[in-house]
Amino acid sequence: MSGLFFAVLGHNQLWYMFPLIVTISLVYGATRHEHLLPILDQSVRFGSAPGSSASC
Amino acid sequence: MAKPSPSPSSHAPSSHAPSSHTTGSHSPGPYDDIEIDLRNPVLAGVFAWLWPGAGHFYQRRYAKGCLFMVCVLSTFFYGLALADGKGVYVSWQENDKRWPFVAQFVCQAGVGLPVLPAVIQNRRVLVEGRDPLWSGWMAPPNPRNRDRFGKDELAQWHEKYNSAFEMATLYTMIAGLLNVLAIYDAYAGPFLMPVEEESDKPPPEDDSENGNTGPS
Repeated sequence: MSGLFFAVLGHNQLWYMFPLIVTISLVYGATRHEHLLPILDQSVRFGSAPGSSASC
Repeated sequence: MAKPSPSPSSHAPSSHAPSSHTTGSHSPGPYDDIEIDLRNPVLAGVFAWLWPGAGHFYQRRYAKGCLFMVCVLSTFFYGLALADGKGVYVSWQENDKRWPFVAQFVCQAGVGLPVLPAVIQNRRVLVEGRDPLWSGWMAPPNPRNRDRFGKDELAQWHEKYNSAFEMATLYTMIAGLLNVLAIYDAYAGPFLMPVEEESDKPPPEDDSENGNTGPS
C-alpha cells in the first residue's frame, strides 16, 4: 500500500497536501499550547497522522 | 511572553484550561503554570483578523504571532501565486457567485487586509466597468472579455491554470480558516492540553511508590 501511495505521489497533485499539512498542524498546535516546544511536539504528532495512515 | 495577569478578568477565558496544572507523577513541564495577559481580547481579535499575528503581537506573544503570521500568510500568498493572483476575487455574477452564497470569498476574507485588493478590484471592474489595477491581481473575471471561441474570462482561466486554479482557491480558503483559529486564540487564549494524554503514562499504583500524594 505504501508503494502504491508513493507511486501515485510521483505524478499527481498530492504534493499540494504537504505544505497544507505542515501549516495546518502548526496552527492547530499553536491553538492548543502557548510555548513553541509543545506546539512543535503537538504539530509533529498531528501532522504525522495523515502521512502514516496513508502509507500503511 | 506568558506574563502574570494583573487581574482575573484578563486570564485566558478558556477556563477549561487551568492556568496552573500539575499532573500526578509527571514532572511539571513547559505546558504548566501558564498565565497569559490577553490585554484587550476584543481588540486583539480585531488586530488578528486585520493582519494574521498582529493580535498576538499586541498581546506581546511574539513567538506565536510570528508563527501564525508565517503559516497563514505563506499559505495565502503561495495559493495566490499558484494562479497569478486570480484565485482570490469578489464576484456575484450569475455563474460565478463567490459571495455570499458560495463561501470561497467568505473563507478567504478570514485573512483580513490582504484580501482588500479583491474588494477594490470588484468595485472597479464589475461596478464601474473600468480596467483592473495591478495587472489584474485579485480582479474578478470580466464577463465582457471573451475569446474568439466565445469563452468568457473565467473559462479561459480554468483552461490556462487547470487544477492550479482550484488549488489556489483551496489554499487561500484554508489560510482564511486558519486565521479564524488564530483570531480565537488571540481572543480567548490557547486550549491548554493536559500532559496526561501522553501514551506512556505510568499506571496509577506507581504514584504511591514515588511518594506522590494525591487528594485523599
